[in-house]
Amino acid sequence: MVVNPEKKAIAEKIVSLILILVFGIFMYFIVEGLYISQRTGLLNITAQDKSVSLFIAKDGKSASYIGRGASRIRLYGGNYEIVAVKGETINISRVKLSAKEVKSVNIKNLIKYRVPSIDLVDFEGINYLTDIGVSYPQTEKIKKYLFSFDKNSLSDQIYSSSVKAGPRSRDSTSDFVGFNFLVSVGEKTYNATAQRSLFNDDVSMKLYDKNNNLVFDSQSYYLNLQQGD
Amino acid sequence: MLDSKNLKKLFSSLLLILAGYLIQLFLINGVGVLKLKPAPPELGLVPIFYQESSKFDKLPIYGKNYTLENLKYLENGNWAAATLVSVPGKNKATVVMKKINGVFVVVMGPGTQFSESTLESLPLSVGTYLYSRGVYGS
Repeated sequence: MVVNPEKKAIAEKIVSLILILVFGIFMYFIVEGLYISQRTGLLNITAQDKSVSLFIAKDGKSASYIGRGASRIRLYGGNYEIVAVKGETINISRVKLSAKEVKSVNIKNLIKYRVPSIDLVDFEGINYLTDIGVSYPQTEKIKKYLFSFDKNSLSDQIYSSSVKAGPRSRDSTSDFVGFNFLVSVGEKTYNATAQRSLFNDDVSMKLYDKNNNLVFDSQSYYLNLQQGD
Repeated sequence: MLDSKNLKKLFSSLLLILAGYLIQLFLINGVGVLKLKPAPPELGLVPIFYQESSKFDKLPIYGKNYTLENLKYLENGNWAAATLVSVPGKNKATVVMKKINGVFVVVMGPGTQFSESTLESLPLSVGTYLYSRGVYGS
């Protein structure tokens, strides 16, 4: 095949230009790699709990998600905050990273950070109380008592099989009827004895620990509210 | 026209780009630089609490997805409250923040109404200020 010398010369020029461009890109990779390696440090982050979400932040900069449980990141020198979040718990560690430095951070203890709120608590089994006639407003009061007893518990569980309506004499003239149940608040289980009104929303509750010591009395709860405690 | 000699040159140039990329990866230990986006001073953690945990990898960006207004510092600067405004849409919600380890963490909200049960756990000045903002309702 006969090749046109002019076209061949043009092709040679184009190939030469491409080669110059490629060399430029090659050099850019090298120079950028050297620049980054000289100006940045490496941070190895590991968390004891592999399910925590990890973030990195800096004053004046927005937090950025860097992984779950463990992460390895490269950052320009400066002071950083490593934030680990799991549910309603958090850990904030501060680290100063310099150029060319390699640092390791191990995240261990997470603390509760949300302001305790009754809305955050899961009152499992509270509906079992309605099965024995406790009204909705009365169950709401029971929730308040349990929250007041331990504001940091995010899960209070009433055991269905333990819910018992107290005996009431047919001749009784009292407006109140008793009921008992077992409830776990936080990591402990308590015996609850309660009295509810048959005619209004009044309900009182006492909690006893496993040694039968009184640990909560709703009468004190109302007393504290009146005193603004 | 491209003859075999030029084709070899072009193929070699592709290898050169690949080599450059691999050398860079070697120089930076295979870890790229993380660049953080701007946020108001001390308030860089807010987006963590503004996002569902399943979408942590797409945290909202200040100015693009949200802004903060009516920032009020309380309790000698250890507490703060602000209005979080979504962009676009301009939906408003209150966030209450507390300094933990020197950084503001959202301890309440974002929300438009808070349970009165939270008041017992707030400093008096914070609770009073929130009441004045009308975030405690019925």
